[in-house]
Amino acid sequence: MSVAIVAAPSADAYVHSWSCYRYSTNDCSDTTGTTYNPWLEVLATSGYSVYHICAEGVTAAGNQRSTIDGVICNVNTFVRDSCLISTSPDSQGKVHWTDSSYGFTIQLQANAYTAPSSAC
Amino acid sequence: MTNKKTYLGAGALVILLGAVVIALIAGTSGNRAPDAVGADAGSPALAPTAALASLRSAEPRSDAEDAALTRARGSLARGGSIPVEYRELTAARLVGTSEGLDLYAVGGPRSLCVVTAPHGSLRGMSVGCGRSPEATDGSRPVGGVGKTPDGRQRVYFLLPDGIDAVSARYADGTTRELPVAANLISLTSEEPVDALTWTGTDGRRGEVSTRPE
Repeated sequence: MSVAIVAAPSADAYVHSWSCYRYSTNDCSDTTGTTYNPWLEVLATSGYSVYHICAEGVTAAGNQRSTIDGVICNVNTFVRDSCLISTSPDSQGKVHWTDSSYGFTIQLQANAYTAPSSAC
Repeated sequence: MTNKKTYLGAGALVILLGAVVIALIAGTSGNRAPDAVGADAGSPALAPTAALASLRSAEPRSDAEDAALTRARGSLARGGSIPVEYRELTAARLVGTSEGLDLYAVGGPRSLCVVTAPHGSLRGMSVGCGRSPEATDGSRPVGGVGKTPDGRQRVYFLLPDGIDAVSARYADGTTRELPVAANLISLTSEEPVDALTWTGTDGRRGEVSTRPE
Protein backbone atom coordinates (compact mmCIF):
# COMPACT_ATOMS: atom_id res chain seq x y z
CA MET A 1 0.00 0.00 0.00
CA SER A 2 1.46 3.32 -1.00
CA VAL A 3 0.30 6.76 0.00
CA ALA A 4 0.13 9.33 -2.75
CA ILE A 5 -0.50 13.02 -3.06
CA VAL A 6 -1.18 14.56 -6.43
CA ALA A 7 -0.38 18.24 -6.69
CA ALA A 8 -0.70 20.67 -9.53
CA PRO A 9 1.20 23.80 -8.42
CA SER A 10 0.51 25.65 -11.67
CA ALA A 11 -0.94 25.10 -15.08
CA ASP A 12 2.42 24.22 -16.55
CA ALA A 13 3.85 22.16 -13.70
CA TYR A 14 2.90 18.71 -12.52
CA VAL A 15 4.18 16.81 -9.52
CA HIS A 16 3.30 13.50 -7.92
CA SER A 17 4.43 12.67 -4.39
CA TRP A 18 4.07 9.21 -2.90
CA SER A 19 5.55 7.07 -0.15
CA CYS A 20 5.70 3.45 0.99
CA TYR A 21 7.17 1.23 3.67
CA ARG A 22 9.03 -1.45 1.78
CA TYR A 23 11.43 -4.33 2.32
CA SER A 24 14.67 -4.39 0.36
CA THR A 25 14.13 -4.94 -3.40
CA ASN A 26 10.35 -4.35 -3.19
CA ASP A 27 9.08 -1.66 -5.55
CA CYS A 28 7.28 1.49 -4.47
CA SER A 29 5.46 2.77 -7.55
CA ASP A 30 3.32 5.81 -8.15
CA THR A 31 -0.16 4.34 -8.59
CA THR A 32 -2.60 7.20 -8.24
CA GLY A 33 -3.94 9.90 -10.50
CA THR A 34 -2.72 9.66 -14.04
CA THR A 35 -0.17 6.90 -13.67
CA TYR A 36 1.87 7.54 -16.80
CA ASN A 37 3.15 11.06 -17.31
CA PRO A 38 5.92 12.89 -19.17
CA TRP A 39 8.21 12.71 -16.13
CA LEU A 40 11.65 14.23 -16.48
CA GLU A 41 12.75 13.77 -12.89
CA VAL A 42 12.19 11.13 -10.19
CA LEU A 43 13.46 11.74 -6.64
CA ALA A 44 13.72 9.07 -3.93
CA THR A 45 14.68 9.62 -0.30
CA SER A 46 14.75 7.44 2.78
CA GLY A 47 15.49 7.84 6.45
CA TYR A 48 18.41 5.44 6.13
CA SER A 49 21.60 5.44 4.15
CA VAL A 50 21.43 2.14 2.25
CA TYR A 51 23.50 0.20 -0.26
CA HIS A 52 21.26 1.13 -3.19
CA ILE A 53 18.54 3.73 -3.41
CA CYS A 54 16.95 3.92 -6.82
CA ALA A 55 14.63 6.28 -8.71
CA GLU A 56 13.39 5.57 -12.19
CA GLY A 57 10.64 5.90 -14.77
CA VAL A 58 9.04 2.81 -16.29
CA THR A 59 6.98 2.90 -19.49
CA ALA A 60 3.62 1.18 -19.97
CA ALA A 61 5.52 -1.47 -21.95
CA GLY A 62 7.66 -2.13 -18.88
CA ASN A 63 10.82 -0.54 -20.21
CA GLN A 64 13.12 1.36 -17.88
CA ARG A 65 13.63 4.95 -19.05
CA SER A 66 17.28 5.93 -19.50
CA THR A 67 18.77 8.53 -17.19
CA ILE A 68 21.21 11.21 -18.31
CA ASP A 69 24.06 9.72 -16.27
CA GLY A 70 23.19 6.11 -17.08
CA VAL A 71 22.60 5.40 -13.40
CA ILE A 72 19.33 4.43 -11.71
CA CYS A 73 20.67 3.77 -8.21
CA ASN A 74 23.24 5.58 -6.11
CA VAL A 75 25.37 3.58 -3.68
CA ASN A 76 25.60 4.17 0.08
CA THR A 77 23.10 7.00 -0.03
CA PHE A 78 19.77 8.16 1.34
CA VAL A 79 18.90 10.26 -1.72
CA ARG A 80 18.76 9.49 -5.42
CA ASP A 81 17.50 12.20 -7.77
CA SER A 82 17.37 10.92 -11.34
CA CYS A 83 17.15 13.06 -14.47
CA LEU A 84 15.54 11.13 -17.31
CA ILE A 85 16.92 11.64 -20.81
CA SER A 86 13.62 13.08 -22.08
CA THR A 87 9.95 13.37 -21.19
CA SER A 88 8.87 10.92 -23.87
CA PRO A 89 7.59 8.25 -23.75
CA ASP A 90 5.43 8.73 -20.66
CA SER A 91 6.51 6.75 -17.63
CA GLN A 92 5.43 5.72 -14.15
CA GLY A 93 7.60 6.79 -11.23
CA LYS A 94 9.17 3.92 -9.31
CA VAL A 95 11.58 3.93 -6.38
CA HIS A 96 13.16 1.07 -4.44
CA TRP A 97 16.12 0.17 -2.27
CA THR A 98 18.41 -2.77 -1.60
CA ASP A 99 20.64 -3.67 1.29
CA SER A 100 21.31 -7.28 2.15
CA SER A 101 22.10 -6.32 5.75
CA TYR A 102 18.63 -5.09 6.62
CA GLY A 103 15.62 -7.39 6.95
CA PHE A 104 12.96 -4.82 7.75
CA THR A 105 10.87 -2.19 6.01
CA ILE A 106 11.97 1.40 5.57
CA GLN A 107 9.95 4.34 4.41
CA LEU A 108 10.65 5.62 0.93
CA GLN A 109 9.39 9.02 -0.07
CA ALA A 110 9.27 9.99 -3.72
CA ASN A 111 8.43 12.84 -6.06
CA ALA A 112 8.17 12.88 -9.85
CA TYR A 113 8.23 16.07 -11.90
CA THR A 114 7.37 17.10 -15.42
CA ALA A 115 9.74 19.39 -17.28
CA PRO A 116 8.43 22.82 -16.20
CA SER A 117 8.84 22.07 -12.49
CA SER A 118 11.95 19.91 -12.81
CA ALA A 119 15.47 21.03 -12.03
CA CYS A 120 16.80 18.54 -14.55
CA MET B 1 12.19 -42.76 39.91
CA THR B 2 9.17 -41.36 38.13
CA ASN B 3 9.58 -38.07 39.99
CA LYS B 4 13.25 -37.91 38.98
CA LYS B 5 12.28 -38.42 35.34
CA THR B 6 9.64 -35.70 35.67
CA TYR B 7 12.17 -33.27 37.18
CA LEU B 8 14.72 -34.13 34.51
CA GLY B 9 12.10 -33.64 31.80
CA ALA B 10 11.00 -30.29 33.24
CA GLY B 11 14.61 -29.19 33.54
CA ALA B 12 15.30 -30.09 29.94
CA LEU B 13 12.22 -28.16 28.89
CA VAL B 14 13.38 -25.07 30.80
CA ILE B 15 16.83 -25.29 29.20
CA LEU B 16 15.26 -25.74 25.77
CA LEU B 17 12.96 -22.73 26.27
CA GLY B 18 15.92 -20.68 27.47
CA ALA B 19 17.89 -21.60 24.38
CA VAL B 20 14.97 -20.60 22.16
CA VAL B 21 14.65 -17.23 23.91
CA ILE B 22 18.40 -16.59 23.59
CA ALA B 23 18.30 -17.55 19.91
CA LEU B 24 15.37 -15.22 19.31
CA ILE B 25 17.15 -12.34 21.03
CA ALA B 26 20.33 -13.02 19.05
CA GLY B 27 18.34 -13.19 15.83
CA THR B 28 16.65 -9.90 16.55
CA SER B 29 19.86 -8.07 17.38
CA GLY B 30 21.55 -9.49 14.31
CA ASN B 31 18.78 -8.02 12.23
CA ARG B 32 18.61 -4.68 13.92
CA ALA B 33 17.77 -1.43 12.18
CA PRO B 34 20.68 0.78 11.15
CA ASP B 35 20.87 4.25 12.58
CA ALA B 36 18.38 6.45 10.83
CA VAL B 37 19.61 9.61 9.20
CA GLY B 38 19.90 12.06 12.04
CA ALA B 39 19.82 9.40 14.76
CA ASP B 40 23.53 9.78 15.50
CA ALA B 41 23.50 13.57 15.58
CA GLY B 42 25.24 13.56 18.94
CA SER B 43 28.23 11.48 17.89
CA PRO B 44 31.40 12.94 16.37
CA ALA B 45 31.26 13.11 12.60
CA LEU B 46 33.97 13.61 10.06
CA ALA B 47 32.57 16.51 8.07
CA PRO B 48 32.71 16.01 4.30
CA THR B 49 34.03 19.54 3.95
CA ALA B 50 37.00 18.50 6.11
CA ALA B 51 37.49 14.95 4.86
CA LEU B 52 37.81 15.73 1.16
CA ALA B 53 40.61 18.04 0.03
CA SER B 54 38.66 18.85 -3.11
CA LEU B 55 36.01 20.50 -0.93
CA ARG B 56 38.54 22.55 1.02
CA SER B 57 39.64 24.59 -1.98
CA ALA B 58 39.48 28.34 -1.43
CA GLU B 59 39.06 29.03 -5.15
CA PRO B 60 35.82 30.77 -6.16
CA ARG B 61 33.19 28.38 -7.44
CA SER B 62 32.50 28.26 -11.17
CA ASP B 63 28.98 28.72 -12.52
CA ALA B 64 28.72 24.96 -13.00
CA GLU B 65 29.84 24.31 -9.42
CA ASP B 66 27.24 26.80 -8.20
CA ALA B 67 24.64 24.97 -10.27
CA ALA B 68 25.68 21.62 -8.76
CA LEU B 69 25.45 23.07 -5.24
CA THR B 70 22.00 24.52 -5.93
CA ARG B 71 20.84 21.27 -7.50
CA ALA B 72 21.96 19.11 -4.57
CA ARG B 73 20.44 21.53 -2.06
CA GLY B 74 17.17 21.30 -3.99
CA SER B 75 17.21 17.49 -3.90
CA LEU B 76 17.67 17.50 -0.12
CA ALA B 77 15.09 20.26 0.41
CA ARG B 78 12.44 18.39 -1.58
CA GLY B 79 13.29 15.05 -0.05
CA GLY B 80 10.56 14.50 2.50
CA SER B 81 11.54 14.35 6.15
CA ILE B 82 15.31 14.70 5.89
CA PRO B 83 16.59 16.32 9.13
CA VAL B 84 17.70 19.93 8.75
CA GLU B 85 21.33 19.20 9.62
CA TYR B 86 21.58 16.81 6.68
CA ARG B 87 20.20 19.39 4.25
CA GLU B 88 23.04 21.85 4.76
CA LEU B 89 25.51 21.92 1.87
CA THR B 90 28.24 24.54 1.65
CA ALA B 91 30.86 23.45 -0.88
CA ALA B 92 30.92 22.13 -4.43
CA ARG B 93 33.80 21.22 -6.74
CA LEU B 94 34.17 19.65 -10.14
CA VAL B 95 36.28 16.59 -9.33
CA GLY B 96 36.48 14.91 -12.72
CA THR B 97 35.09 14.20 -16.15
CA SER B 98 34.39 10.73 -17.44
CA GLU B 99 32.99 9.70 -20.82
CA GLY B 100 30.86 12.78 -21.35
CA LEU B 101 29.90 13.33 -17.72
CA ASP B 102 31.12 15.98 -15.32
CA LEU B 103 31.27 14.74 -11.73
CA TYR B 104 30.94 17.08 -8.75
CA ALA B 105 31.51 16.58 -5.05
CA VAL B 106 29.06 18.62 -2.98
CA GLY B 107 29.37 18.63 0.79
CA GLY B 108 28.32 20.14 4.06
CA PRO B 109 28.83 19.37 7.73
CA ARG B 110 26.91 16.06 7.60
CA SER B 111 26.11 15.17 3.99
CA LEU B 112 28.19 14.35 0.95
CA CYS B 113 26.62 14.30 -2.50
CA VAL B 114 27.88 13.24 -5.89
CA VAL B 115 26.34 15.24 -8.72
CA THR B 116 26.62 14.25 -12.37
CA ALA B 117 25.93 16.42 -15.41
CA PRO B 118 26.45 16.19 -19.16
CA HIS B 119 29.91 17.60 -19.85
CA GLY B 120 29.82 21.41 -19.79
CA SER B 121 26.12 21.60 -18.95
CA LEU B 122 24.39 23.44 -16.11
CA ARG B 123 21.29 21.24 -16.42
CA GLY B 124 20.54 17.54 -16.44
CA MET B 125 22.18 17.06 -13.06
CA SER B 126 21.44 13.82 -11.15
CA VAL B 127 22.18 13.64 -7.43
CA GLY B 128 23.03 11.00 -4.83
CA CYS B 129 23.74 11.88 -1.19
CA GLY B 130 25.17 9.95 1.73
CA ARG B 131 25.98 11.00 5.26
CA SER B 132 29.02 11.29 7.45
CA PRO B 133 30.76 9.60 9.09
CA GLU B 134 30.37 6.48 6.92
CA ALA B 135 30.64 8.48 3.68
CA THR B 136 33.88 10.05 4.87
CA ASP B 137 35.62 7.39 6.98
CA GLY B 138 36.18 5.06 4.05
CA SER B 139 33.60 2.49 5.14
CA ARG B 140 30.67 3.34 2.85
CA PRO B 141 31.74 5.74 0.10
CA VAL B 142 29.09 7.54 -1.94
CA GLY B 143 28.92 6.66 -5.60
CA GLY B 144 27.06 5.27 -8.55
CA VAL B 145 27.07 2.26 -10.85
CA GLY B 146 25.43 2.32 -14.26
CA LYS B 147 26.05 2.23 -17.96
CA THR B 148 27.44 4.51 -20.64
CA PRO B 149 25.24 5.19 -23.70
CA ASP B 150 27.12 2.46 -25.60
CA GLY B 151 26.51 -0.13 -22.89
CA ARG B 152 29.79 -0.20 -20.97
CA GLN B 153 29.82 -0.26 -17.20
CA ARG B 154 30.15 3.14 -15.53
CA VAL B 155 31.41 3.39 -11.94
CA TYR B 156 32.17 6.45 -9.82
CA PHE B 157 32.85 6.95 -6.11
CA LEU B 158 33.98 9.78 -3.84
CA LEU B 159 36.71 8.72 -1.42
CA PRO B 160 38.17 10.65 1.51
CA ASP B 161 41.73 11.96 1.73
CA GLY B 162 44.34 9.28 2.33
CA ILE B 163 42.89 6.77 -0.12
CA ASP B 164 45.06 7.35 -3.16
CA ALA B 165 44.31 4.17 -5.10
CA VAL B 166 41.74 1.41 -5.34
CA SER B 167 41.90 -2.09 -6.72
CA ALA B 168 39.23 -2.98 -9.28
CA ARG B 169 38.26 -6.65 -9.22
CA TYR B 170 36.88 -7.83 -12.54
CA ALA B 171 34.32 -10.58 -13.07
CA ASP B 172 37.03 -12.89 -14.42
CA GLY B 173 38.97 -12.57 -11.15
CA THR B 174 41.71 -10.27 -12.38
CA THR B 175 42.48 -7.04 -10.56
CA ARG B 176 43.80 -3.66 -11.61
CA GLU B 177 45.10 -0.78 -9.53
CA LEU B 178 43.46 2.56 -10.29
CA PRO B 179 44.52 5.97 -8.99
CA VAL B 180 42.17 8.20 -7.01
CA ALA B 181 42.36 11.82 -8.20
CA ALA B 182 40.67 14.75 -6.45
CA ASN B 183 38.84 12.28 -4.17
CA LEU B 184 37.24 10.63 -7.21
CA ILE B 185 37.59 7.18 -8.69
CA SER B 186 35.73 6.81 -11.96
CA LEU B 187 35.96 4.20 -14.66
CA THR B 188 34.13 2.87 -17.66
CA SER B 189 34.73 -0.69 -18.69
CA GLU B 190 33.61 -3.26 -21.22
CA GLU B 191 34.55 -6.01 -18.75
CA PRO B 192 32.29 -5.76 -15.68
CA VAL B 193 34.00 -4.77 -12.46
CA ASP B 194 32.57 -6.68 -9.48
CA ALA B 195 34.09 -4.65 -6.66
CA LEU B 196 36.48 -1.94 -5.63
CA THR B 197 38.78 -2.46 -2.64
CA TRP B 198 41.14 -0.11 -0.84
CA THR B 199 43.09 0.37 2.34
CA GLY B 200 42.07 3.27 4.53
CA THR B 201 44.37 5.56 6.46
CA ASP B 202 43.67 3.48 9.57
CA GLY B 203 44.86 0.36 7.76
CA ARG B 204 41.41 -1.13 7.50
CA ARG B 205 40.42 -2.70 4.20
CA GLY B 206 37.37 -1.26 2.50
CA GLU B 207 35.26 -2.80 -0.22
CA VAL B 208 32.19 -1.86 -2.22
CA SER B 209 30.31 -4.03 -4.68
CA THR B 210 29.92 -2.52 -8.12
CA ARG B 211 27.48 -5.07 -9.44
CA PRO B 212 24.39 -3.47 -10.94
CA GLU B 213 21.26 -3.30 -8.84
